Amino acid sequence: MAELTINDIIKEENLVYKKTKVMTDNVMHYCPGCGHGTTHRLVAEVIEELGIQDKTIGVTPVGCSVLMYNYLDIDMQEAAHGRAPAIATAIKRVMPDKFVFTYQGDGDLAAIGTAETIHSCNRGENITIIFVNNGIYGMTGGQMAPTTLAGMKAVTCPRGRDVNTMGYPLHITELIAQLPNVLSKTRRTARVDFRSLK
Amino acid sequence: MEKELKLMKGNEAIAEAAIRYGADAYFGYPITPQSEVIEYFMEQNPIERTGMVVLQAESEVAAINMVYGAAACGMAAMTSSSSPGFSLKQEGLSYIAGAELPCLVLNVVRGGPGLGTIQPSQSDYFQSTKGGGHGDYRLIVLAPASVQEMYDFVQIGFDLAFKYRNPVLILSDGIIGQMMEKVEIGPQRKRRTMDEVIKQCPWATTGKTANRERNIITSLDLVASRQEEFNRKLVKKYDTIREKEVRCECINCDDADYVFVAYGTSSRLCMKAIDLLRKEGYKVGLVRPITLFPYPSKIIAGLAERVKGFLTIEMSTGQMVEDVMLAVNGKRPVKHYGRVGGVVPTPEEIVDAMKNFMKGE
Repeated sequence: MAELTINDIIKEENLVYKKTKVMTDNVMHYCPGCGHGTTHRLVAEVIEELGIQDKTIGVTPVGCSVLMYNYLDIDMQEAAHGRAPAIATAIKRVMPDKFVFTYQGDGDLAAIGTAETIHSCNRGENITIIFVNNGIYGMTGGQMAPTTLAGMKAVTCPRGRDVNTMGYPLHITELIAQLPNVLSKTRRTARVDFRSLK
Repeated sequence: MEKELKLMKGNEAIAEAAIRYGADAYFGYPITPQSEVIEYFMEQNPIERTGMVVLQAESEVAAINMVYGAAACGMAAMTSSSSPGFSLKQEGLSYIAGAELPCLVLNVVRGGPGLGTIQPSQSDYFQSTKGGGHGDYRLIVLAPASVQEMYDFVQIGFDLAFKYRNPVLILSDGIIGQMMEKVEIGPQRKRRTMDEVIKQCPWATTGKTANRERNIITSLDLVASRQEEFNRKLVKKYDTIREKEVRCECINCDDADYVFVAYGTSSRLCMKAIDLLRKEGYKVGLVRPITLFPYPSKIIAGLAERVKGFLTIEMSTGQMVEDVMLAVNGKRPVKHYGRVGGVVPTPEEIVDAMKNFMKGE
């Protein structure tokens, strides 16, 4: 069998992967190595795969991913800090045939928006919450988040998170998993392994 | 057709009006003295009557953000609260104003500051008319003085909200919310179909179809020059509202030497005081602003050309009086009389206040 040339490889029938049309061509503002690009793409690919681009409404949080609406080619709303699940609740209630998701960081979802998160889950709102946990406040410059690990240093705990005065990292996903109306909880890692890039 | 009349509380009238208007959603949280609003909704079960969504939120903060979410879908959405709860809604209102979304909000005012009292007050005037939350924005503010107006202002409010893509506030108080009066009920209007919503609100997040670009609802612009441009656009909108939407009632002003300026419950008390004063031969009138933003400044400025003075009656330590002073611009004396903390002045007190004012005290 003859070896494939580069021209063979790029033929349409040989393509195994391409950029989803649910993503726009806008250049991302994220820092090098940030996982948001990967998670945005995963969300976009799922929307394409399910064929729900015209039925999906996304809600972006306050945090680095506030500008997610620049990158996904769907209708989106930008929420006040922590309020995305309340907004998503209303969208789904007034348009039950739509698919509604929020995309939230740990500061947004597990600190300022804890009430909205827990109560939307407790009501069993038919929405999807995509929780992107990096254990830090990224956009504002690396302050301690509710999920910052014990002993981990951040600009608002320069000597490391002291659990006696700052509490332990909040296991919000485990908390929510206890609620009877929560349909499913999954955990995935979106991590760039820099060693493999060398 | 025969008129449909009902004896209702102000808080009930507003809920019934919303159902009959064909509103799409109400999100609320209990607080005295306005809990009857959500109780009436829940009792009526509007999802059965019209398909309207009603939900008890976990907080006032969540409720106003639910309004944001529904309004951004082009829906006619509303919430209600009373003073301490209404303070919590300021964040959401700022975002709604910043995203230029239409919605209707109701504040059944009680005395403050802080937890204050559950008795009626008018001490949220500044918060209601000068912005309330952060950033340069205005609400359109309607001030009902009767249960009938609580009912009627729902339609006026929603229509204005959609016309200008701006939040509209009905600024009531514990008396108007709690008292029962005869109300003429309008016919049931059909809720808009999804096609009608999309036609009316092409900007709404109703799902990106192939025939249009994606819709984004946001109040964020990180480029300072563009944000400034947006702020200027809002100013232009508010100027149009000032030009076109002033509502005001002038009672017995034609021959008046002195006039009261009062809104809501205080204006009702002034009506009685005017009766008493006129029986004693005093020529006294009343300017009742119905819109508090836009404020009827031109009407007051016009009256300042010929009347001898203005006395504002407010259930506050003097808030609206500042707008009257601005309108009168030093031409005539302007004074304030009010009771606060949930205390309602009597017509006799108001008569005495006017007599003292006329004497120059």
